[in-house]
Amino acid sequence: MLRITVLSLLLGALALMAGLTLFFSPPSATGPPAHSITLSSANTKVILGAGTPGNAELQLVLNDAGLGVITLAEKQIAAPDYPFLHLDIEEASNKPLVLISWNTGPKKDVRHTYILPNQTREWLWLATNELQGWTDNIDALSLVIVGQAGETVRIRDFGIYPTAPSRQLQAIYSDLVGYVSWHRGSMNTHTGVTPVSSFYRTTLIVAYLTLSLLAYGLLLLALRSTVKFSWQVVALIFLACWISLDLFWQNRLLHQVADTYRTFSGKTAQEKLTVGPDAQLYNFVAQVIPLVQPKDTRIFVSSSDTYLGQRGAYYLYPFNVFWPGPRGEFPPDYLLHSGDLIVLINPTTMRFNAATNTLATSPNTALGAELVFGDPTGKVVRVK
Amino acid sequence: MEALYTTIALALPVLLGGLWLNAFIPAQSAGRTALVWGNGTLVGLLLIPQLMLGLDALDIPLTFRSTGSLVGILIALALVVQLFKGKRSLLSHTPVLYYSALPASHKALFLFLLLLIVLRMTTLGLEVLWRPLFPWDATMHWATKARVWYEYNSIVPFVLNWEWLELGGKGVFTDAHADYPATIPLLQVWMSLTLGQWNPSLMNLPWLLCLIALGTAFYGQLRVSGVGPVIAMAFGYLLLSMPLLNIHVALAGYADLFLGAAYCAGLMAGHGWAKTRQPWQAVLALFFAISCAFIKAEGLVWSLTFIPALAVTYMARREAAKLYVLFTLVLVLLWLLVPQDLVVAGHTVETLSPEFRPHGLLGIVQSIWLHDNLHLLGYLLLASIPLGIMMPGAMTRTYLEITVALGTAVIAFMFLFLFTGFGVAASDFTGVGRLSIQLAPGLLYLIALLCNELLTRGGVKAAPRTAAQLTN
Repeated sequence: MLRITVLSLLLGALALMAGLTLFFSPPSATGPPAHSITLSSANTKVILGAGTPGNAELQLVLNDAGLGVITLAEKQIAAPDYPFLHLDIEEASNKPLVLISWNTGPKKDVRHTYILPNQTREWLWLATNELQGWTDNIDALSLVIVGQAGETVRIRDFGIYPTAPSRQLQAIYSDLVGYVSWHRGSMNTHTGVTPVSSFYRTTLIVAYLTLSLLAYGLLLLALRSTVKFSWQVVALIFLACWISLDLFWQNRLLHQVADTYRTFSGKTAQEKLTVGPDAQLYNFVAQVIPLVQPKDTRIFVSSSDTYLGQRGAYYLYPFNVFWPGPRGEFPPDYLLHSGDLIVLINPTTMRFNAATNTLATSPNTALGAELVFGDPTGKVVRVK
Repeated sequence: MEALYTTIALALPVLLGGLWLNAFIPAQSAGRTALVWGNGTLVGLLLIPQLMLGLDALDIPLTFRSTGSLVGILIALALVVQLFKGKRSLLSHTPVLYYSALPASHKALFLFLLLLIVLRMTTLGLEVLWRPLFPWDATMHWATKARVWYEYNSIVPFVLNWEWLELGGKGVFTDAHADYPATIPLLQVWMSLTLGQWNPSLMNLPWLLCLIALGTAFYGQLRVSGVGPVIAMAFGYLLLSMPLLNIHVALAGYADLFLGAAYCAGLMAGHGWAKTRQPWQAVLALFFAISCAFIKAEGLVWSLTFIPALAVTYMARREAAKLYVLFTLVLVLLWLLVPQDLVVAGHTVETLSPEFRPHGLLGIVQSIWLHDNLHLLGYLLLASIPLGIMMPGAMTRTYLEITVALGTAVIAFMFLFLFTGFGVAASDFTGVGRLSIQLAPGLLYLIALLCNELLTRGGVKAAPRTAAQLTN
């Protein structure tokens, strides 16, 4: 039973790879095959930062602004000739921001940028036809790295490649092991893909499952004298496919937990908030909290950004906080009392005028108020 | 000390529910340990907030001393009951297939799946330990209450925004959903009281405990239903590996996981009771069914799905079907007659007004069959429907109660996203995934029972009338 299960799965995998490369290969130009353009002294130019492109790798030292830019193909190239892009950057402890950019348009003045998600720089194959703007003729294909001033980034490869089945499979694998950090929508849905994925993971695995079951059916036909149909084999094939899908998920979770560890481990509850995704907002609120006197002061929170508004309000609890909610309106002036605090988190439509000590709560209304605290994140005013 | 307090905070709900169940679950039930501690932990997690509500109603301040003492007394009482009952536990008729009796290949698969589960729970546990409260709604209307109640040692009232303005904020607080049930925030209060501090990471550990408890109870209920250890473990793994369920632990703070766990635990116990008529299963089913309404607004709808399931247990199928149709007609009539501003399960009738929303269908399809929210559950479900229909008597007799409950829940789910204003929450994926994890564990349980029939009986043959017949 185990043998025929494994055989079915292997045949299914082969059929899937064959199907993908035969029927789903990216569209490419019809002319003679193009040559790869890879990192080399001939093709590569350092625009920002310092470094000498060699044939093996480039050690790019970021400039004083923490920027490093290299161009790969200064001359114009036909985008469809290069359906694959390969990137290999050695992981640094403080992860720099990595972008790929290129120009298109008749005057070559339309700039396109793709920001690479975390953790996918060490071995990344991109199917370029999934990149928005990778069409017609392009030039000034660049790799942009934003990190710390003086930081050295080892670039082992940055190249574009013509079509080949092996590259397509590597691009798909790259997608499958790709990783995007938690974000605000994570609680609602997990698509399992990045913006440049060629296939949904689930679809691929369902195709694998179907082909493996088909292979099992064919094996049954071929070996009908010795092998009989078994639901257990079907179940094992299904379980193996589920586990395959789940291992990609587990891989993503492990990447995430490593990121989380780097950000939060060893810190107290307070310290975690000062380095988390809301660090700037929390640091603002932390400065506001000691200024709230007396403790039962009513605090009204206003922000045009729903997320910042609600998150700012949350950090202010257990004070008596009023935040109008995602669809609510800020209360009219007559409901505000002397001594109430109004926390204005940028961006906000309310304007405090320090010269007249008034707060414009709407285009037509203003009330007397004094500034209690202010920084680039927001202001706190007390109603007079 | 923090580790000690965290352990106490997590151990007390486990002991509270586990020891009480240990006194009543028959000694020779298959998968008994999993049944006792899985269901027991869920009971403990859901009961402690209700005890806190009770203490607050009696004007007793919410402190670790008051709540912990009450929990301690109940635990002691459970121990006394156990001592009193001694070996007089009822004997189960379910034959026990122990792990040791398995062939080596089955043992290897069992251990491999267990290893995958342990790896997953460890990963999620570390994420919860390190990351402070993250998700959107958690800081909008769940942890806001917990923060205030912990600080005031009392369940001070939260009122709607307009009401807060009317009262001038005197003695009341407000947040984005002041009317949401108190169970989830009170769990965070419980953690904070035991820890002696507001810790936005550690207070989320009950979410990890909830998922582990759900998986354990799931395994136990499958075992007691006559499913072998390997198949039960395999389905337990399928359950615990679903990405969106995992995310609701890693980014703890929402109520959906608890609601999904309570609903599934209720369905499993209800099915167990329908087949064996053991009173402890009935008590568990009732407890979890009622709990649903105390976890989240839509939990009331899931609670109500137990009523048609109960009807088919006691009535002839034809009579029950008539009642079902009559009930639907009454609902439609009520819909037409009641005031549009009447609030049902947290939403006004007006927002639930029926009108076909085709964009909702696309959202549902994408969320269940294209996105990786539930791995391959959507496809397993598609395969199981014809399987259930082809297996004579499975959905119409053997698993009728649970099929009716889940069928009603799925109809409610589809109605919500296809015919009400909530279709938007399907098309933009803000609601459909979260609601699907409330039903997914229960659906997987029914699928597991059907697949077990298929695998153990070697094909689509008539299903046995009862589990007792299957196992005797």
